[in-house]
Amino acid sequence: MGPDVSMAVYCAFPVLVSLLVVRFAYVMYHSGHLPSKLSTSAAGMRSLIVLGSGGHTAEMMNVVTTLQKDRFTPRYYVAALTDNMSLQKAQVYEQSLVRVEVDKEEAVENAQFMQIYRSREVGQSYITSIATTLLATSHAIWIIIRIRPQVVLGLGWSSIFYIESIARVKKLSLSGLLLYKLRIADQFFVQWPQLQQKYPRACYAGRLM
Amino acid sequence: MVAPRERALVVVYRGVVEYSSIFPFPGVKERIYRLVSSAPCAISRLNRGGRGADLHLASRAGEGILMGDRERRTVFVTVGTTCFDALVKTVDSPQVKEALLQKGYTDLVIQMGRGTYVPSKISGDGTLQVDYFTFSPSIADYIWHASLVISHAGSGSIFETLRHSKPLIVVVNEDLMDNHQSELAEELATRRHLFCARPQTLGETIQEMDIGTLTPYVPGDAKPVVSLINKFLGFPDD
Repeated sequence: MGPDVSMAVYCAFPVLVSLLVVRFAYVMYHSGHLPSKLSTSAAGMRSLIVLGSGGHTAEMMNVVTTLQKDRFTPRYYVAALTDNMSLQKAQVYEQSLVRVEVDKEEAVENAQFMQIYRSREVGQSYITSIATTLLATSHAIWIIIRIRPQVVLGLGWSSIFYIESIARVKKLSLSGLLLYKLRIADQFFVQWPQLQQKYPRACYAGRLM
Repeated sequence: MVAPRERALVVVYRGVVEYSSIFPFPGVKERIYRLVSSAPCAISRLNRGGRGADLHLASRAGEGILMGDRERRTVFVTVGTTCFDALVKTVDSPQVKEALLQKGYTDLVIQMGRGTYVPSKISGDGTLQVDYFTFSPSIADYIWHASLVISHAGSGSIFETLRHSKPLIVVVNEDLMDNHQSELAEELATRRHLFCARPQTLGETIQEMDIGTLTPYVPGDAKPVVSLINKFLGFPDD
């Protein structure tokens, strides 16, 4: 699990840093504006779904299968370049939706899959990981900015939901700690009650696995 | 846009839901078909209509013996995608093999991942059949056919095994630097869903374990999380 967790963290980290940067800019630009909640109910909300590897993708896919697909659309899946399995799982799931979809073409456009540079491979030295982290972070920023223009078209993306992995029972991961301490996530879920007691602003709503 | 309808596969054994999955997930189709052909187990193919509806399980679905292979009792060892030679080595030791034989296991299948240590295929007195491989796309199949699973502490392997309701010993890799990975295994061991061991204590754990003391793991549910996300975004709860 160690490597799996590290992989998830190192994959999620640049995305989270970029979210922080873009969100900061967004908030500065639109400060005072609250997203119109009514406008979102008519159409879908474009959702960025960050997949880890191994068991973490399974956790996230449990959430995705439960989400109301017409509300959370289109869905952008992001996984690490060297992680072949996660996007494949998401693709298999999205294709299973297409099969039962009335309008097939629309359903295909509802999901997009992207790969992102990893900030650090398992076992990579910390010195070289500085350069790869910079590369991964700028790549993540580019991806988020590329998705963002349609976001500004009134669909009101401004919510970040973070779900800490079930593997974290006593302590938050690095990504989790960052989002928690800086209060970046709008809702922060943990999967164990004892973790919620330690981090009272977190929300415990059961386990995903 | 119409809410998609999802199909689910549910296996009921002695009135207890053994396995359920939103269809299709990798490996599920093959495994279910194999079960259908090998044993009289009950398969319900259900339609889930509407949003957030519960899976209504067919309570009157029949029952059947899923595993007819009573004479072979296989131990499946898995290290996932990691390199965990310490586990493969300890499983390969005469002490652990002897403990497995004493407990009535007949086969040992080792998934060794990226490790370099190659276990010997011959056990002490030759009665424990040993086999190994590096990776397989159908790990779930091996878990399904095993009577005991010995796994690294990866959450993927742990929950895959618990979902199949198989007795599980998790061996924590002490060589990992960021060793928070024992957290999950220890928590689940405290809740008596599995046994937790270290490479050097695996033999004793096998000798002392009483599978009857394990309690079934009730899988989590994403619905409360999704419902809170919906609430936060101002969607009506349904």
